[in-house]
Amino acid sequence: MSWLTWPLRCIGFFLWFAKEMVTSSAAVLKDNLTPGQNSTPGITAFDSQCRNDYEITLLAALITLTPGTLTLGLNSDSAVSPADGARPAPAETGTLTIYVHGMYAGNADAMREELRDMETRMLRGIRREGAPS
Amino acid sequence: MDLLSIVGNITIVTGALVFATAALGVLRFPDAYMRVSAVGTAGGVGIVLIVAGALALQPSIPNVVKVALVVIVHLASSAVGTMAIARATYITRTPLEHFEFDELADATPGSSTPVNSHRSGDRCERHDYD
Repeated sequence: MSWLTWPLRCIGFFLWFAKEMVTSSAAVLKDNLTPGQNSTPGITAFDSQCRNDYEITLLAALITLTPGTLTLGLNSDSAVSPADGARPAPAETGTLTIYVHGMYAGNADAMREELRDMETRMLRGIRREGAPS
Repeated sequence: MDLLSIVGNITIVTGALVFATAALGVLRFPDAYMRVSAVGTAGGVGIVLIVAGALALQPSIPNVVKVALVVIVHLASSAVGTMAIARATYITRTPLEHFEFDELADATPGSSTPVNSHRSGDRCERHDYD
């Protein structure tokens, strides 16, 4: 069953992302065209649910492509660090953390909520078995 | 003027407008991070819109293949390039302007948020560049 809905979910995510591009473009454009700056920039640490390098790369790239948000870096061993200091394989780290510069979220928690929404939609689109519960 | 060429022209003009927005952003945004963000978006999405519009003006099977390649390769390289520049911006301690929060500094041992020392305000202490 999940094989049948996979392409549909993929297209669904693509359409949602296109819509998101338009709305966040409008927000940036509005700030640019009106006098003054009403941006509230900040850098958020976001613990993703991505399991491997492909998913986290795609997520980081999509965040960067969205107007107003920008991925600054990735921390792959923030959650679980082995005692001997060796860099663990991504599958063993538990959590891949990315750092995102956002312009209009207001505070770190609101930002994390937006990113979580986007990530869940992305994983629902690209994973055959759907989003993590 | 058939429907396809109208759609193509609208798409191309939209792409050009995205670029104009980015140029405006470079002029108006206060710090390097927001400027990188503005340019990164335009570099990714603006080009894709213009190329897609060109496809609508001259539709053919070989052009579809070329446009698909351009879109995939360009979006991937543009996003990765933007992230590389953004990362370099932070590592070289380029100041953040009137930021509200910075959790990257919390995660980096022995580091504080890079700010302009002459107007760092009350949010964090002055950083000495050693």
